[in-house]
Amino acid sequence: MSALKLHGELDAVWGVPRGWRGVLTSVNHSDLGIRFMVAAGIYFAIGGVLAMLIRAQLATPRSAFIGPEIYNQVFTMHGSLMMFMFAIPFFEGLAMYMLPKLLGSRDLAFPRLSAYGWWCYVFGGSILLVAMAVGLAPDGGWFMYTPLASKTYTPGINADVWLLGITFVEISAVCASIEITVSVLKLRAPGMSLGRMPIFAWYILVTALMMVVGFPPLILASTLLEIERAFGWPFFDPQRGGNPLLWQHLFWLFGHPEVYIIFLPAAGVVSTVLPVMVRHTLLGYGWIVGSILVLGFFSFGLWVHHMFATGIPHLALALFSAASALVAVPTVVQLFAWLATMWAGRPQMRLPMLYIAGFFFNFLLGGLTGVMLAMVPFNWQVHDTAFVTAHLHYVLIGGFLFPMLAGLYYWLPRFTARRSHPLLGQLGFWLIFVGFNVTFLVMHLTGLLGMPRRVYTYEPGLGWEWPNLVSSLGSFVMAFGFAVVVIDGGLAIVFGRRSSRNPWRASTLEWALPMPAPSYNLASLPHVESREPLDRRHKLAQILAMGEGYLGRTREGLRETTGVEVVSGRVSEIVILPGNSWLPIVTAAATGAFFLALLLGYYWLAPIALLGVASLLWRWAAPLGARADLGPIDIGRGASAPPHHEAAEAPGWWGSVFALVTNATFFTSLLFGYAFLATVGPGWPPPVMVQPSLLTGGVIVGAVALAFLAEGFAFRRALAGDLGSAGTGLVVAIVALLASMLGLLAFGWLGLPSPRDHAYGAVTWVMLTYAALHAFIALVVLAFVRRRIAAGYVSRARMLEPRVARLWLRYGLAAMLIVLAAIALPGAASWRW
Amino acid sequence: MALVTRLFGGLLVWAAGFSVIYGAHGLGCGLGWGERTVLGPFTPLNAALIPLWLACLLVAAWALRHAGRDHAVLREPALRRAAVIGGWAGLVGLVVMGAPVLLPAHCL
Repeated sequence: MSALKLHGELDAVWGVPRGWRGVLTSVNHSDLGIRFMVAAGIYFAIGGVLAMLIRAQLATPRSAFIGPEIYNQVFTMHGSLMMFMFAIPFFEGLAMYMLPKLLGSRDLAFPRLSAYGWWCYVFGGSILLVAMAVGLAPDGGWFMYTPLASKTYTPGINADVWLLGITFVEISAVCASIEITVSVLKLRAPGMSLGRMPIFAWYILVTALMMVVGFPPLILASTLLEIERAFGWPFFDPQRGGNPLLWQHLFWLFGHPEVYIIFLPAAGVVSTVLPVMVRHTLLGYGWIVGSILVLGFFSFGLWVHHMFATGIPHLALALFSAASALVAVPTVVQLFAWLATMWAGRPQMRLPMLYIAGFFFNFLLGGLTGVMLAMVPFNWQVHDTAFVTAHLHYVLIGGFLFPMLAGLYYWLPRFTARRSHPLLGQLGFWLIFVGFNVTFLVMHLTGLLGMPRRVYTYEPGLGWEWPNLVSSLGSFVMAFGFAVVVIDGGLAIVFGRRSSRNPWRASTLEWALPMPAPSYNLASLPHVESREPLDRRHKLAQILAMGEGYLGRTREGLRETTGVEVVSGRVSEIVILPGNSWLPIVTAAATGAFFLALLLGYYWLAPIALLGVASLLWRWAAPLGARADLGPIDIGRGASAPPHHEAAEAPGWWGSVFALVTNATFFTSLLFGYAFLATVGPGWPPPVMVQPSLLTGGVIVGAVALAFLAEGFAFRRALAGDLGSAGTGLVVAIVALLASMLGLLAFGWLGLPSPRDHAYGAVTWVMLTYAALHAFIALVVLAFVRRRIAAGYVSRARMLEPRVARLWLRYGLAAMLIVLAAIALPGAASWRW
Repeated sequence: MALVTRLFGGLLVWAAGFSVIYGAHGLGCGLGWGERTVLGPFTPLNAALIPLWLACLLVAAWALRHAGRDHAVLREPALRRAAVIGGWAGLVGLVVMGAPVLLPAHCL
């Protein structure tokens, strides 16, 4: 078959409909990746305009440019947009676009999940923007500290907009993290073992894993605060057993890893682009992989350094101070690897390299002030001053934006098939670099002179006038620089020279794709034998375009790509991906209806919206799978593999594993909150504690045990091919789950105190609701599998759905038992028999 | 799961050790163990945390000893090196981050 004919056939399978239908139903990773990056860029521009307003206000003392109410909204929205709507979505977009191309795959593991995340991002961001347009934007700072953000001190809707809008957007981030993790682990070209993965994939993998466990504490904190604001449950109210510091712990459990979640992808760009710019292979691949793993772990042990001034015990200060200083080591290991690579190569100061040089300078300064801030006495001195503002901008702009701009210029030919004009790009760089340093280097001094953060004005005569004026002037220079970059990009797209296939002579797989990238990426998939597949195989692109790799054909109009064993990269299955669909946007709209109902106070509407989401998710899973066993199918090059629903650990199974890890982190954070309040909350032990009866507890435990055994029986019978008995076993398990759920609710209604009177009642009710919800989820999942058995989608070979259901069931059962023990045991002394 | 324990072993020990030490510190302060001294400036909280820290170091040393040795799972040198780095980071991390338990521990 000719390359052109193969292109036509593949494009018919993988393509996107024209017009609005394509816009609304596309699940293509390139489309979604570009959309994420463009939308994030728009949010960056809006956040940048807000920054200009801040600098205009602070340029002179006693400025009347904007009043305190608007100023509070402006700095809150600036921080929130930059952190939640720009930095994370931008790297998600880059990862979505690049990963399949780098890994030699045709798409991500869960294309509809990407699209759902995209629409959640759009709808959630719209809530924030509309609120800002009508003057109801959040105004309590991007960290929403309690008690400032509690109902007493922020009675309006502003804080609710943040809590619900950001949580809605976080759904997008969690979806992306699971999507990316599974895609890197499972959807790679054959032969691409973990040790042969491009270094960028390692960075993104670690980042995605950090997001899997980093975002749930924030989602929990937002949920608890919204419940407190809406229903008066006192999680953070010290007069009723709550503690405002619980918010800070949960927020910074997310917030500090967030810094590394933002930094690591940018460092991944440096590790990818720098070797190409210096014409030398990246040195210290193993060292870099090791150091980013260490960074991923250590970043979760630092959060308390944001709370050094809250009066926590000195020993805790020392523990977290040491941890905060130590985290510099794995960062510096990467720095030395980059320096060594530069030393060994021949650096060419082209535009991407210029941005990398800017990154080195700025990030080094940000890192140094970071170590200074890790020292408790210094931290106390500059706490909540402009010094900290300067530090965080050096880390975030220096550590994220400069490398990302390097990446944008490096991959511009990949995105647009065009090249930009180097002189305009260099002008943009110098304006940004000079403007940035003029703004923020001086701001360190402003902070050392004692100027606090987040003040809307200041008095003359304090010595803050000239540094503020200089910072404001610098910020406008920087803004001009960003405008030049945007103009440069626009001109390149419209008038730029067409790019050759591999303009930088790089050796990673994304440059083997045609220009521009087709909907299916590669006409056939390569066998990867080294970390730099294009290094020695210059004809690889042509060979793949001719269909001489794996899956160089279409089969029954299915979207197929290879799934591999996680470590070895050997082909384990053919992953059949779903096509374009209305389901993502409709499900996101239903999810949005849930959040809007809560925001506007129509609480009766929220459960209806949730039921809508649940029914849509049922339909989501229904079209997958097959009704007949196919066995191994020829994939070309003399190899064969079964379809993924006949494989033991298909992407769907892995997706459930990581969804449950996210879920478990949420649950663990809740247990941490319970333990934290019980240990240091004022007014504990509570005046009334639960007095569980052994009868209720016994019924619940018995029902849990029955559900476990019945599902185990059903699973074994299905493996043996006895689907009738398997179905019966599932029905017994479903009835047992229903009993356990009702038992839990009865346990709550009969035994738990009111959730409004004391934080004990509030937190135990939340735990109980969590357990009951997971009993319900497990019940629905088992009912789905029961139906699939009846419809012929399950056989001895096609056990994917029972395996996934087993994960959710066992997690739900464990959650029920843990909640029961956590609530009942503290009151065990008063058990009645 | 084998990959997780082989590649992340040292770091998982660090995470567990750090959580246990910080959790025990919070619990000890909650129970009032830092409010009186028993040996010079040292408190019962020190008496609880120091053995805990040493136990964590022992486990981290054990994890380091075994890091990167399973060639069946970690076939590639880069992965073995990453595992060894993780092992060292786990041990050194626990030494540095846990060392403050040797200071008099008052819950101030």
